[in-house]
Amino acid sequence: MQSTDSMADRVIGIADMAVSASSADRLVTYALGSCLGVCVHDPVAGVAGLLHVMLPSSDIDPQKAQRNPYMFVDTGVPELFRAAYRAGAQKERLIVKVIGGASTGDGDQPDAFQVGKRNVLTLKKLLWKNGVILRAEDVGGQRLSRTVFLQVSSGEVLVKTNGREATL
Amino acid sequence: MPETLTSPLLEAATETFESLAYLFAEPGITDDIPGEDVEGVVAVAFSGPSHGGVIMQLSGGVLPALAANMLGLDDPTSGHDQRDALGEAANVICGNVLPRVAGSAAVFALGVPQLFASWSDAVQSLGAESARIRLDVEGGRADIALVMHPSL
Amino acid sequence: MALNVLVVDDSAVMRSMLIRTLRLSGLPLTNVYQAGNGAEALASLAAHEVDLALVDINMPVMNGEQLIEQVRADARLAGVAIVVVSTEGSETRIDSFKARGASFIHKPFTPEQVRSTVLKVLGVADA
Repeated sequence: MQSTDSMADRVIGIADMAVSASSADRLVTYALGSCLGVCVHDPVAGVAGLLHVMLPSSDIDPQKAQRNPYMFVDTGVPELFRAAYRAGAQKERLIVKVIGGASTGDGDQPDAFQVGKRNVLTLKKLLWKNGVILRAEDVGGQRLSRTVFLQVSSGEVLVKTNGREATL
Repeated sequence: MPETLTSPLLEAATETFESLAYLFAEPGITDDIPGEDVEGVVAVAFSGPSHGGVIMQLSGGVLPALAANMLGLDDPTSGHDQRDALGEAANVICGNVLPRVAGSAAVFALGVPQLFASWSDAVQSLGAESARIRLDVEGGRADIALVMHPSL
Repeated sequence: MALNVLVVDDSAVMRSMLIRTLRLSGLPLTNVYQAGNGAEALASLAAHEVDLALVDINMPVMNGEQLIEQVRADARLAGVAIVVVSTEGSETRIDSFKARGASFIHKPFTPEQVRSTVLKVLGVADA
C-alpha cells in the first residue's frame, strides 16, 4: 500500500461524496466519529466512490436533504450508488465497505443520541432492502476517530484509527 | 426484578432487534403492559436445568416494521408473515438469553413459538414473570418477560 | 459450478432471509428447496440432488439434530455440506454438530456472516 502522504488525493469533507474512475486517484475522508464513510468499488469498471455521511434519516429535515443529500444515509447512499453507475459501475460488481459509526460517549458521559449506531443500522437496512451485502466493516467502538483512504486503482481501503493503520 | 436477569434480557433483545431487523431499540421505563394498539403476543417455552419461557408483546407499529425489515421489503407484509416474524424474533431472544443467564455449558430445549390473545393469557400459560423489560423501538414498544424456574 | 441448496427452518420468514442472502452472495444457485422440519428435509433429500443444507435445530416433528444424524448415517448423502443456523448457545451441542462435519452460524446473523461462512464451506474464494 502506498504511503499515506501522497498521490492524487481527493479529500471528501463532511456531508460530501466523490466518485472517480481515475486510477491515479485516492479518495480520502478524515475524522469519522459517529459519521459513516461508505466505500464502493467496481474492480471491472475501475470506479470507486466514497461518501462521508452524518445522520441517519432525512425525515428530520427534508429541505436540508434536498440541498445536500450527502448529509443523510437514506439520501446520500442512493446518490453514491447512482454516481458510481453513471461512471460505469454495475451494481452486482460493487464491493461495499463501511467505516465509522462510533459512539461519542464513554463511561462518564453516555452517548444519549447514539447517532453512530443509528447510522449503521440505517445503512444496513438500506443495503439489505436494496439487495446489497457488505464486504467488510469497521464500525462502532467508543470515541474513535477514523480516517479512510480508498485507492481507486485497486479498491484497497486503508483505515487509520487513533494512530493505528489497518487494511479493511 | 433481579439485574442478573434484566441485563441479559436487555442485551439479547436489543441484539435481536438490531441484527435481525435493523431496528434501533433502547430501554424504556417498564410500566404497565399496554392493552391498546397491541400487534401481537408470543411466547417461547424452554426446558432444561431451568424451565419457563420468554413472552413478548409488540405494539405501536413495531411488528409491521419487524417483518418488513427481516424480509427486506418496503411493502406491507401479510398477517401470516408478521406472526411468523414475531415468533422467530421471540425464538431468537429466548435462545440468546439462556446462555447469558445459565452459562454456555447448559443445554436447553426450546419449544415452538406460540401466539396468545393477550399478555395475561401468556403469563397464565407459562407462569409468573421472573424479569420484565420494555424496549422503545423506533416509535413503538416491545414488552418482554423472562419466566424462569429451577427444574426439579 | 451448479449449486442446489436446501433450507430447513420452521419459520418461513427465516427461510426467506437465508434464501435472499444466498441469492445476493453471488453463488451459482440452480435449485433452492425448502423444508419446515427434519422430516420434510429428508423427503426433499430423497427426491433431489442437494449440495448444501442450511439447517435450524429447534423444529417440530423432527428437529435439526435428528436430521443431521440421519443424513450422516446415509452414505448416499455424504456429499451434502451442512451448515447449522441456530440460536443454540450450548458449547457441547455446537461441538457435537461440528464433530459431525457441520459448520455453525449463530442466530441472529448478519447477511455478511452467512455469505462468508457459505463461501468458506463451499471452498469458493471471496473475490
